[in-house]
Amino acid sequence: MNTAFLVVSFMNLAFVLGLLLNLGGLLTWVERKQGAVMANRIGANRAYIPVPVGRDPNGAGGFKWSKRFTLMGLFHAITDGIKMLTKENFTPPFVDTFVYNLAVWFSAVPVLVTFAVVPFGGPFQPGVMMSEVLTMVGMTGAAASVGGFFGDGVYHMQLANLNVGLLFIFAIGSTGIFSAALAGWSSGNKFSLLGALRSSSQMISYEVFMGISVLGLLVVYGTVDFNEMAQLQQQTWFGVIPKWGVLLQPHMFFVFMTALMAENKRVPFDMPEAESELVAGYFTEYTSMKMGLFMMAEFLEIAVIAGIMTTMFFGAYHIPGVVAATDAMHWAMHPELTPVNAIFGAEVPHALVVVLRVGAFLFKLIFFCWLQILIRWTLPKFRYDQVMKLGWKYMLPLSIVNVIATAAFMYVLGGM
Amino acid sequence: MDPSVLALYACCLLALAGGAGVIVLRNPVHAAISLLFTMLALGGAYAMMQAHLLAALQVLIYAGAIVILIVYVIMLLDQGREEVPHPFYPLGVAIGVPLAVLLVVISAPAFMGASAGPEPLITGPEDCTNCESAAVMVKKPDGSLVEASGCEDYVDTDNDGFTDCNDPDCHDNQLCYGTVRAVGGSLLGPFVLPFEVASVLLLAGIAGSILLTGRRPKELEDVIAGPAIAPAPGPQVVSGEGRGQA
Amino acid sequence: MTAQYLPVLMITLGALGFMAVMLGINSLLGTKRKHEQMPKIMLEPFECGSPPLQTDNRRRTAVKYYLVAILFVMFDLETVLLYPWAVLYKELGLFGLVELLVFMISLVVGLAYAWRKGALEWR
Repeated sequence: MNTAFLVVSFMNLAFVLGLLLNLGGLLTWVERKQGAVMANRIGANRAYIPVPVGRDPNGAGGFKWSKRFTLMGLFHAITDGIKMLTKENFTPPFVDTFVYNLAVWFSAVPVLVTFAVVPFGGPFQPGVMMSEVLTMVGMTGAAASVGGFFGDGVYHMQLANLNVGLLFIFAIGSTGIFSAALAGWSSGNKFSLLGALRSSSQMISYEVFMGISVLGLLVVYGTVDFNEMAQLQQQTWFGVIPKWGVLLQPHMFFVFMTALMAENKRVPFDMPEAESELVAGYFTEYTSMKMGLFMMAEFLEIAVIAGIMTTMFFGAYHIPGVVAATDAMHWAMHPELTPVNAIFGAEVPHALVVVLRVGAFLFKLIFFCWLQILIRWTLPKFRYDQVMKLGWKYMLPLSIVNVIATAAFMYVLGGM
Repeated sequence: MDPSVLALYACCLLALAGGAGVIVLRNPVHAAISLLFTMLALGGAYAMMQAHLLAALQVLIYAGAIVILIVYVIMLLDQGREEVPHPFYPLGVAIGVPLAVLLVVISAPAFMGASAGPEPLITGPEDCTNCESAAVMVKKPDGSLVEASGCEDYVDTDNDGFTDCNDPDCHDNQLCYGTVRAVGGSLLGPFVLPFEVASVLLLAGIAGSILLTGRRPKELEDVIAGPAIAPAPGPQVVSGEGRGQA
Repeated sequence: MTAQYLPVLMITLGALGFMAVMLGINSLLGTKRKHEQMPKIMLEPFECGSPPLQTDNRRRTAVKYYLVAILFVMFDLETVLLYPWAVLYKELGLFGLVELLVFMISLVVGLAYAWRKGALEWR
């Protein structure tokens, strides 16, 4: 334990919480706007901020206001938040108060905690990186002191480098079932109870094959540690094609993504809420920010799912065509990319590598968020028996066959 | 004291408090939630004792699956609406107290031996807390072996992006106790027979659960299910008044 | 190695703090009324506007949900035993493959039995 480790952890924590909470808010807007665009509507466009552009020529001391500054309806996310924060925080008299209030905490907390093991950038040397940046802007004194504080220690852009990686996500994620089950049970409402039963049944059914579907990929990687998976996806076939999970197990990419989306309980796996049948499902009796946190947990989970898919199947923070130079801290461009090499030389500076890696991760993360919202607005809702049939009768046998086939293939190949 | 030992004690206290809650709380669902916190605290305790895989599985299986099953059973049996009375069972006390004393007597030597704080669970090269003396060798990209300076997990001696405990280039693959690789090594090594027997046991469990809840003749099913929409004996709402004001 | 759990504790506290701040601001800014001051309709369970039959709707649930839960526990236990196997598979070779087949046979037999008995039908 040293101080530098603590400082780096706090930096990582600030980044992760800032990223997730902002994405959670932004995605509410993306959901509306993207849905509107797909349905050929205009979508959110009313909330605006008035901007003074000068003195009012008619009034005495008033301002002349600009046209409505709507920014494509982005302010709707803020107005939603303000509205939910100022609504009456109301606990109905017929609920089990303790369980009713506890269920809210189980909605967003497990979702946020699961992101702890997702690497959002590669290994980095904060001392080297910061002194490079500070030297570039001319603050050599600060560069020396920062470099001295961190030394050449290697840290990870990942909150917790846990050996059990994926299992940690499954474990913490499975406690999220309690938010639906307890909320529905404690509400004392028919719709809530039905929603709770449906959602927890659906979540546990899809957890079964979610675990089995990634076993094939784990066999190929030989690890469950996310950091190690990310590093392994830097390898290539023939020096060009990256060994990403989606190319190693393309069919399981779809199965795993289905399982994760069903865990998130959004359309087309919208059984627990099923607006047309169950009002709002297990959170029918919740008001104000308590309802808002249930909604926000779903949007946060979109971002977390995107992070998991990126790390396991889409090469984490790697950019294809870029290979590690002397160590994992530096990059060398592929020899064919001569114009790029002409700019940076054989080795890319460490600070730039870190920035590009985080950028690549964020790009993929946002791509998967977009993809999930695209699916949500494309597919209609399934019927409940169809959901259960899909999980138990198609996805589970398919996953089992995949594990056996992958293991046999790996044995014949003699370990890739 | 080592912060991880303090955290271990905190987790143990939480687990004990949760266990006490299961007994004391009179509402079955509240007791189940108390059990959930016991399971989570036990997971934390395992993690602090460096049983990393066990900690994850504890939370995954017990908190995520078994407690959910218990909540389902409570819902299935229509319990949890009213508090369960706590009658005094003299027989229970007569059996329970001697058993509790026996438990303390049996486990006391283990606590006595650890009066200077808990010993590391295992020592030697596999133990991460003891690495200074054990000299862990890490392979550099150029092939040379270097000695890992410490064994805190965030140290990356050869700058390849893998921290030492997770590094596949580590000279000793079973560097760290309790990791997935280490547990798997014993599970598929000396304990392979129990590993296989577990699968047969689980098969028996699947068969038993299906038999217990399986399809019954139609007329029997109706008898068991009872009238579906009979009003519960809860307080009835006098409706009509106040409607239209909202 | 337990140092790695410190950030997990940190993000847990951060998440709990976020929830507490959101709920705290809400109870500060939101309207505050006692139950007696509210319109009576607010105090009933929501049933799309029709008068509710009773205020407590917690009731016995169908046994099929229990079956799903217990099948989940069984298959989940089998799955977690396979994670260490998957991590070690490359080193185990043929032994690992035989091991998997023996394990998978019991899993597939269990699944086939459940299927044949109609436990996977949703009715």
